[in-house]
Amino acid sequence: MARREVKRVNGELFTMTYGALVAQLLEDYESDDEVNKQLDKMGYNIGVRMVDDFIANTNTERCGSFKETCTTLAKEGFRMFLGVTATISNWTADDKECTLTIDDNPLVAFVELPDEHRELNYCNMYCGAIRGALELLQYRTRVTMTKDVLKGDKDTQLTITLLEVLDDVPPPED
Amino acid sequence: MIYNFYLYNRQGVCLYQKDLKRGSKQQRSDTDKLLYGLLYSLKKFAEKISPNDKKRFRSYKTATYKLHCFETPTGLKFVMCTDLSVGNIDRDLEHIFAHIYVPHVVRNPLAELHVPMTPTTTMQPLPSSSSSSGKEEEASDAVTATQLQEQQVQAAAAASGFDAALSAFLSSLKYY
Repeated sequence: MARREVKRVNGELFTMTYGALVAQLLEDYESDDEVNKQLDKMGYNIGVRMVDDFIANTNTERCGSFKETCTTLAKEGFRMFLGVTATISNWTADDKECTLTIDDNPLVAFVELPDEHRELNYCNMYCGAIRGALELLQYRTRVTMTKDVLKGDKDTQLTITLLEVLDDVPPPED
Repeated sequence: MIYNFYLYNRQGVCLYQKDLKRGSKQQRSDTDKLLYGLLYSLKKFAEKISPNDKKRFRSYKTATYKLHCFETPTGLKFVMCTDLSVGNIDRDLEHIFAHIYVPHVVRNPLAELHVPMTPTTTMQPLPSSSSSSGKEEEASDAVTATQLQEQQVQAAAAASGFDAALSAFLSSLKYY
């Protein structure tokens, strides 16, 4: 199948829109915790749609393992939707947990985190989006932000933990 | 000749179905549940007996029809029943996924995922809410009812888009 031409928006416009969204959420919800939750939820709803879009637009073979899936997500997925690549590293021995590092995080340009919002995970939408996308591929995961450029770290890092491999839902008994 | 088309998600919900076999009307709700059960068992069975990794189930034939199934990694099943002369139609089912389902449903913010699609033509009227007591409650009920209705109309519009695109594509197929 031929790759469909992908329409792109201006990167700065995208960054600003995301910033405006987070700012609005901060106004609406007051507590940082609640904003984190909302961002995660929005990300989830985006993720469950992105995954089908991704599959439809690439020739990616079906991934055989969680490890393979995460690598594809980091390499191809991030490139397709954000124009950057991410790297996966630090696999645990049982292949159930890894760290995803976003090299050139497009969301944090122009952003400074004020002191009163130390608890805010500004990029928490990533977590939700990754969780949503992986869930549709039958991997129930927990995704948390472990390093944040806005909090003084060198790069943005997320930790992905595989909780459960979901099975097809059996038909209901009559 | 195409007889029917079905679309299921991983939860076994029949998101969409279309009967093209003109004339005959079967009991609808029954067939789609039975078919999901059949596909589920067939898939499990095919995985069990497969000698290598390529364990996907693709189609089966009976004396009167052939059933084709294409499943995406996200668990969407595109199912089509045709007459026996039709060959491998994986590409066509994939086309329906990538060029009809994705643009009309996945990329459409007004369309809800994982709920059965009902195009405008077959939409059911909303059940009227008459069991509320206090006045305030009634007012808030009315608000949610209109919101609901609006959502439903938008979702139906999205479903109609999918329906129309699918019909156009199916009728362009050689074996239609």
